[in-house]
Amino acid sequence: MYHLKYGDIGRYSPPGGELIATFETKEDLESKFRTVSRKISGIFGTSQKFSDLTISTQPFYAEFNSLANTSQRTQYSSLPREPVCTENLTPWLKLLPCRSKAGLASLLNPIKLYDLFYHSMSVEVTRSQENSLSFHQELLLIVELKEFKFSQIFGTPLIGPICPFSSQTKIQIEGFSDYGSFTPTPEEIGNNQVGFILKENLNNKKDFNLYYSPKEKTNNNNYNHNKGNTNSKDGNDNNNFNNNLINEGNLFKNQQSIKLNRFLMESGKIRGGVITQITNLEKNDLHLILYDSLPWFMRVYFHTLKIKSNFEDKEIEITNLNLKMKQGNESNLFTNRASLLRIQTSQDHGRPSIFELALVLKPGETFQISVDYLKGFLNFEEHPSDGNRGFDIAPAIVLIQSNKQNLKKRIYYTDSLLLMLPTPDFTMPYNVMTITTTAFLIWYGSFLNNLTGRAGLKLKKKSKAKWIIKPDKF
Amino acid sequence: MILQLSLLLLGILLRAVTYHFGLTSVYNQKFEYVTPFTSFDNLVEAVHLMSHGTSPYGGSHFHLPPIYLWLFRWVDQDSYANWGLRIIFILIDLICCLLLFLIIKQTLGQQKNKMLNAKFERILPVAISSIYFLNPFTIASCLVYCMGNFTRLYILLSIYLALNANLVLSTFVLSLAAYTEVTPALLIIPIILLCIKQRSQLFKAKINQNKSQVKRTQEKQKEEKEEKEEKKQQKTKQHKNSNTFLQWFLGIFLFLFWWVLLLVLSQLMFNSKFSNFKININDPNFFQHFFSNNQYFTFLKHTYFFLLNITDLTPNIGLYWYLLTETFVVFRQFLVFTLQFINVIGLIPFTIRFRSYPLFLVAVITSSITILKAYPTLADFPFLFCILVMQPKLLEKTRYRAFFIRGFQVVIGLLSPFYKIWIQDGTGNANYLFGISLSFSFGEILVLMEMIRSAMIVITNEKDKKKEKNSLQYYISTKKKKSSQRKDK
Repeated sequence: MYHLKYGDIGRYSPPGGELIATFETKEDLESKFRTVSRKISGIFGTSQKFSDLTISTQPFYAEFNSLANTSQRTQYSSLPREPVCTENLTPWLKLLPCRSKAGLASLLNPIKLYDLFYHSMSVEVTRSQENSLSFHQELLLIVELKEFKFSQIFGTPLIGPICPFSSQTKIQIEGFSDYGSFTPTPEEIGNNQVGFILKENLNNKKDFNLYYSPKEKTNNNNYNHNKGNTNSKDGNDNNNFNNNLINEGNLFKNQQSIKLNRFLMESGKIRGGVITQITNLEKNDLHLILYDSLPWFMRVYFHTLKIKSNFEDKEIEITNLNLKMKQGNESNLFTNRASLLRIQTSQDHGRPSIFELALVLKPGETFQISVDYLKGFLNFEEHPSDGNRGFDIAPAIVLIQSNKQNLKKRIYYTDSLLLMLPTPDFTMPYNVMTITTTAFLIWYGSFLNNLTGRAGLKLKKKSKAKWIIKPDKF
Repeated sequence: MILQLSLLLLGILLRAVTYHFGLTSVYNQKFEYVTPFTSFDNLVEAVHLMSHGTSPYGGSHFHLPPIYLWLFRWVDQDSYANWGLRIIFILIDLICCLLLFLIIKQTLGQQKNKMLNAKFERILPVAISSIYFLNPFTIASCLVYCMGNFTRLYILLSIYLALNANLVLSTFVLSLAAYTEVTPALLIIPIILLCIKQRSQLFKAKINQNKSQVKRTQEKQKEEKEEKEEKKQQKTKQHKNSNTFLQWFLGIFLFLFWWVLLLVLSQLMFNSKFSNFKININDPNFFQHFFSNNQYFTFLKHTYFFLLNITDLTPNIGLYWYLLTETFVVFRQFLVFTLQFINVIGLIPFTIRFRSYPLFLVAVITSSITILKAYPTLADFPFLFCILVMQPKLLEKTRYRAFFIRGFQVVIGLLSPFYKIWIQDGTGNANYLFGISLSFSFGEILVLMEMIRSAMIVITNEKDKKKEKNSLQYYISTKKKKSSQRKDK
């Protein structure tokens, strides 16, 4: 949701953890991915090693990075329940040349960091064609404050010196200049950007404390309206929530191109539907690819896959490109408004189900994609220890494909879902085993008794209880 | 005749009305009638997947063998309201009902000792077949297009054909049942036994006819004919001994042959692309296609293995689902093997005990298969009852009838609410449904055992009578001999 408010800043990330690995072969991907995920989980202390066959998927048409060509295959896994914490931050900081001893990284105090509104961190390693490795680390933090100091957010001001290995340390400021003022005053740093280049400033072991104060509320109404409903408690603002969010994107340079919603429709714990809503916020047609993978215990009924548009009363017809693509007849994915590119069916206790859709959205149009599922039942050992909490379902992924209006190729994530599965009684496995097997025992016992005994004659005979000692004889 | 026809019409009308008012959508959510094996939704999904060039057995939905896919390749999501489909399922129930009527009439005609109440005996065939046709469970399973109805039809048809001593066709129909659900394959032994018995009875009847004709027309040449008849009887005895072995061999061979043929046929259909079921024999790569890269008989994993291994733990009215949910994964294979083996183990003692009463043997094996099914529906319950009372004579000897009737009323009434409070409302837990489904299966087991007990009483009584007769005859004959010896002296 934060992207709607603040626009396209930083890398998009799903809740929890995700791992995207691109291999240059098509063979034996699963075992290779396993080694990669185990190493990653070893380095960063995450639970990526659990991203086995039941979670990891192979996108075919959704290209997660621009490098991908035909000889490459991407393996993707997402762990929505993964908590990101200090134990992940420490190894992440260790990868920096000066760790957290110098430079901007010295601001990253874990106690303050995980107290913030939003944070996400990522590591991207790519090998270029000249076999040189590039290493990209990114930490995105969101703070919602009217006025702030560096020392207030991070606990300390930025203290020099700057890490000697870094060629440039830069603080860039966007958007706020219309509504408030900074001390010290930001400078021009090239490319129409405003901010600070820190190397010169901090050579003398000075403190650097950035301070921001908003303007006096001259255009009061307008400002509050644009700020959205996070600060104001006015109920009227909620009605115009979506509009506000869209308007607020104007605060920043890059507005988000699409808006995503995702929710479950359930009555009872056995059947339900997943609904994904995609809204086009651009002023021209968008070409999107929706990549959705659901775990095996959501047994998807693909015949219930439906797409509705807010512009039409009818359902939008989904053309099936799956067969044509296999035969290699079709090359353009976006000839129809909605086309199904690929179906992968799930397997019990095994791989998840996947479907990939190519969509063409008119400006302002909302597509509502719904699919029904039937829940699978798990053995009581397969449930997590907090079985009644539910299962986190990884978000669907939307990729913008058209490159007409210099749109950045971006990965968008929907919300993750919480799926409730019917739970057995975890406390009494032995009781169930004994009682049920007793029923089977009675089956055995009574049929052996009936078959071997001469039932008809037994009824006629009198009991021969001669051995009972009668009291008379004493 | 009018009564029978009106009952049939009533049954058809009931189904048509319930179909018309759209009760399908209501009953489609009920776990008693819709299991992962019999669900019609899963068939629709499989057909849809096939049209998209994906294997219909993916998605862990569909578990019927491929021939059903071929039969119902025209269904889609809208065909719930298709009258053609509805008529097919009404016809299946109708044929089942007629078969039950014919079977019970035939068995009543064959039995020697008449029942106590002659009037009761006269309405029995109509009563039992209408119990099957008119009860709400069968109607509900017809409403939800339960695929288990096919197996029931096959079993009844093969019993009827075996009663008419038609070995070839009855083994074929039985192989269809085995092809659909594997476990009915155990019925092959009682069916062959039944065939042999019926054939010998038919043979006897023919000879008797011949005898009577001979008596009427040619009394003068009595002595000559008697000699000839003696020879004939000797011949028939020899014929009979050699014939039983031949029939056993033929029966099992035919059964396996039909089954393998069906499997091969479905493999051909399945492998020749999912979308169009065309078998192209002129294709030069035909055999390569057939045995292409380990693709042959992959559907067995999703059909027979699914049934035998009980992979799906969705709640039903059977015994296994909660047991396998609550067992540790380590013990799973052992438990599944042991519990599924009960049917096979039971087959041997049952066959030894009831070898001269094959119809009852059929009833016992069928009901034990239906009780211990992995994915039973409530429609199996009236079927079980009707199968067990195919020989109504046994009903007279059963005990606790009132107790069973009341018990089943309570248990079946509680099935649906207990499911609701666990799955729909979330107020109760799984133990409620487990308890009630366990007691339902337990009741079924007790009913079967009661029937076996009453059968044992009938059998022992008959044997005793024979023994008494024999001993009397022996006594009389020895006395005669002794007296004659004395006379001689």
